Amino acid sequence: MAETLLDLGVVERTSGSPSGSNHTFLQAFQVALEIHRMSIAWQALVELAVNEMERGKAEHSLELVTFIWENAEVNLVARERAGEMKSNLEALLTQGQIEAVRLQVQERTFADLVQDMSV
Amino acid sequence: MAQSLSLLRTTTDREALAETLALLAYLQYRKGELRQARLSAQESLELNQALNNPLGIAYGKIILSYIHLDQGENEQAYTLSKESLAICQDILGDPHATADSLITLSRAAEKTGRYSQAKRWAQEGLEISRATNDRWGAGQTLRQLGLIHFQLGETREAVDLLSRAYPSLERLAIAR
Repeated sequence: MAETLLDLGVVERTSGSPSGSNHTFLQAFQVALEIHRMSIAWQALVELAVNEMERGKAEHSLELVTFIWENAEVNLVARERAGEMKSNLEALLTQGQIEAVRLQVQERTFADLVQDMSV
Repeated sequence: MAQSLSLLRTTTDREALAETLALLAYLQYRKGELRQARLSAQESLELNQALNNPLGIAYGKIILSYIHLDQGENEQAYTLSKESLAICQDILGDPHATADSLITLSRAAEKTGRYSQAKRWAQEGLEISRATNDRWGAGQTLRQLGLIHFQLGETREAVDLLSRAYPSLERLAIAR
């Protein structure tokens, strides 16, 4: 079920509906949390980070992928994609911006992230 | 689950051990523990082969297909799914198991670029799932058809199919 939402979000992004795609990924994230499919929840976060990057919000995107990258519980697929995106995003930002993101991520827990996503 | 496995290993009930291992493999797969899932599925498959249990063999191959697909080993998934389909359709004539085989076979065909076959098998799976009132199967085959249309660049059809797949699966989750 949650996987289907991930697929739908990707297709919506490709078909030029970024807001629909964001909404669908958030739904996938929530459903995955409810049914304890953490691998899907992490993938939904990666997809949300892709959407943020495409919207030109590189810092927020970096914040998300850094959080994913640094979380020990993340599955391999999500971690690899987050790592790749992290390198690409860091190449776009200044050292000051990267440091600011790093400090922000350090202060946050997964519960904070879930809270933010629920708003 | 670990306790029941330990107990079963001390008994002579190989059939129950094979079933429990298959269930464990599925749960490990769902949790993303692919290495452990592969070991459990492989052991279940070998036990079922020794017991000459065709349905157990077929489901062992289906679970292994899902694991291969998640690891990008699409040709292996394709071969195993074709083997499970042959058992379920030709030997057993079991519609539920046939639909389950068709879902992984269609996915493996899609991942290996065999789009027309993938579409045909997903449609066949959808028809069987609808005829047997299998909502999970219907949802999964609609999802699969959506993914095939997406790969073919037909995004409008893909959105439509995936949007239809989700409510079908959601209703099922609520019913459970």
